[in-house]
Amino acid sequence: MKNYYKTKIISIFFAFIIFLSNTLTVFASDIDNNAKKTFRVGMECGYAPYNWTQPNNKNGAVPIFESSDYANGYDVIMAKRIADELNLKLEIVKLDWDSLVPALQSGTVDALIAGQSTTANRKKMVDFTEPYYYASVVVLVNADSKFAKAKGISDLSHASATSQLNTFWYDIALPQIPNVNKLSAQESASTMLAALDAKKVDLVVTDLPTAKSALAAYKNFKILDFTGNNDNFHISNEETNIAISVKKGDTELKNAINTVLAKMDKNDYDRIMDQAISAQASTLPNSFIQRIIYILDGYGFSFLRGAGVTMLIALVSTILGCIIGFAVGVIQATPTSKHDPIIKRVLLFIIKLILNIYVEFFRGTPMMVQAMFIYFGSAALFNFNMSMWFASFFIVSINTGAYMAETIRGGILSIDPGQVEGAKAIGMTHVQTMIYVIIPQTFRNILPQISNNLIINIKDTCVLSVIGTVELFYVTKGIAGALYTYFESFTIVIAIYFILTFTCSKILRHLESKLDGPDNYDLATTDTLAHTSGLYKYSESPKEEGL
Amino acid sequence: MDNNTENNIVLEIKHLSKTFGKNPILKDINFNVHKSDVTCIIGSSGSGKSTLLRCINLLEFPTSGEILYNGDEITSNKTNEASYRSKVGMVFQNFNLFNNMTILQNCMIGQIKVLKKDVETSKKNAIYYLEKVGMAPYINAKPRQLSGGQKQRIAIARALAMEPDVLLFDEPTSALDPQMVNDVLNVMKKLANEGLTMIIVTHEMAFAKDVANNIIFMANGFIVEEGHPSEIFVNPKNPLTKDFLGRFINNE
Repeated sequence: MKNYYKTKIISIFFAFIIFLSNTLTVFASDIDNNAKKTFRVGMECGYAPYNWTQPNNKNGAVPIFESSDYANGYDVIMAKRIADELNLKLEIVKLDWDSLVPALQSGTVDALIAGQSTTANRKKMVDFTEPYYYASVVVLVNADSKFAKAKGISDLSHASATSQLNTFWYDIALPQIPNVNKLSAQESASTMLAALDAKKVDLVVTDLPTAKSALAAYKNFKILDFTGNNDNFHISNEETNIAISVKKGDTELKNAINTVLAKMDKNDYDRIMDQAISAQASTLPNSFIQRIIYILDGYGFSFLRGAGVTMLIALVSTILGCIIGFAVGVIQATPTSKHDPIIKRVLLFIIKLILNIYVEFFRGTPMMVQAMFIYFGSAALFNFNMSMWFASFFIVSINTGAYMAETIRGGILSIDPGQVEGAKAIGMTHVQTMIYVIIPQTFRNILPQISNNLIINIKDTCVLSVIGTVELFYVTKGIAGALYTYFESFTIVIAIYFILTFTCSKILRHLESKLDGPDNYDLATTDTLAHTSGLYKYSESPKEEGL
Repeated sequence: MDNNTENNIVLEIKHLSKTFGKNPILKDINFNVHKSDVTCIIGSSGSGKSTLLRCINLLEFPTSGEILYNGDEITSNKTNEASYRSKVGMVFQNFNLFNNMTILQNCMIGQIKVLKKDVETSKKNAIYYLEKVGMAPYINAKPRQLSGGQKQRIAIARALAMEPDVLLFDEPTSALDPQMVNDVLNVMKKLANEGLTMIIVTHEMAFAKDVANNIIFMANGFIVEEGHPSEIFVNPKNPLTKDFLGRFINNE
């Protein structure tokens, strides 16, 4: 089974937050004691056969929280059973792998049923129930490969191999193959399988359920299972045991889940796993074009919704970001003179300093890290559980604002100072000058930059997948993970991204030329001037006078 | 000077000086402007003419000295610069028309936002003054579509639309080609005849001689000589003035 070790940096980072939260706030879990409690379960929903995303509720799929998609798979079936037995209301929360443990620790979810193996490292972060699956390690090869007839791992000598990043498949099992040519690890199971399909590697190491699922998508693959053979991988139970995790110290929930698991045995688990694999039901066609049509047919609406979310976040955040940017940029460009009262100068200095810190901080840190920090940090530090939507708009807007502030400050400074003097000379105040003269011109000048930002935002919203925002990239990862159609899914999504950005850039270009107005102007006719006739005292045309 | 009565003094400049860093630009400037005066400030480049004009409009803040407008000190911190400037307008060498507005909007915005006039009145007023400078047909154009001379006449109309007491001109024809210079000077002459109080920094000696009733000659930050054009141009007393006007007088 998929058994990532905890990504180290993130764990240190969140250990820090948890430390703060312990000293600052009361744990969220102590508060709720309602009658019909919800059971919030975190999983990736992108990892067949354990958990995947599908567009409908076929085969008993469960709706995903704050999404219109459904989750299904082994983990979902188990989650349903546990919720039923404990009389809880099940909520499936879709989260990125790296966000699972932080979400549990911050109280965003009650439990993780996500195929986690019970590694020592992870035991420090969470409490594990008894195992709910035992996953044996197998090898996947192309059926026409010279390794297809291997009888044990020593027959795989000198093969080039890979597996998934941060899994014991890659870190412990794979190196046991003698003289193996260990290539760098793949980010997800679907990329790992895509690499094998493209013959970039001779074999991949994975677990039996994953391998069985893969066969549905890749008919040219063959599973090499050396179970019972001495010439097999030597893996401890700790690694192959897959368990449910709860927040450290939540013994009540842990014991409750254990009583449910105690009613099942290994045969039940295998039966449920087979049920999940068959529910994944792949009647995937063989040709590339047909697969694309198949994906669009089944998941077209999911893509559209993902694209809609991406566009919504990008558009709203670009607009909000521009407003923030204009506010900050205008204040930053406010001149102070020695003749201003001291209070005004001090106040302006402090405000400018704060805004400077804001701009430098948000420009100077990656948006993905900010997303993790703000979304999970707000729950852990301040017990403020912001919604995924709020977090998404907030993070992208505040980032755009930081970039736009500098653009706008520069834009204001680049306007001819004569414009300000012209406005001053007819008695306009600084604020009036800004609103009616400088900002409109700055806006026109930086419109290409705004359009740049919008396009960047359309693309960069994909980092919000770390907090589980169901935007286009996240949807695509889910589909690729559910069907193991990595290349096909991303072919579709790259086309969608391009259409989105290209359309936006064309619309904004059109807006630019619209703002410039026509190149020609009409001379006013007598009609326009009619109402002033009679006021005109100086009718003689200017004479050429010899000077 | 024709109008010598004390009551008629609009602007009074007393011991005005201005330094940029350690460079003294204006040194102890003293002069008065009476109602309907046309004061032309002449002198070579760098003599401080433009700085003087910008100090009068508070675009630059004088280092020391006083400026009295209708008897009120305006260089103190309490002065509302914006409302003062709405009465003492300025026309710039580089026009400084608002690029984001049409010609009509350029002439209306100050009336609406500063003088709080309604749109209809502002429009009538704007067109009236645009007609006066011969630019009324161009109300729908944008500044970038017009020539320098046209732009300068519009800048004058914009300033006039504020109906100021005094209008300052900072080398209004220096950025124009010779043909257009006359268009602008004719407009200014018309305004002078009409009795508008003007202070004009210019290199157009013939125009100054023709239109001004007071000439100020500046050099090195000082007022070297001041007087009626008939004295200054015909019989300059100071050798610096003589030297500066030498070529011009010879050409006459």
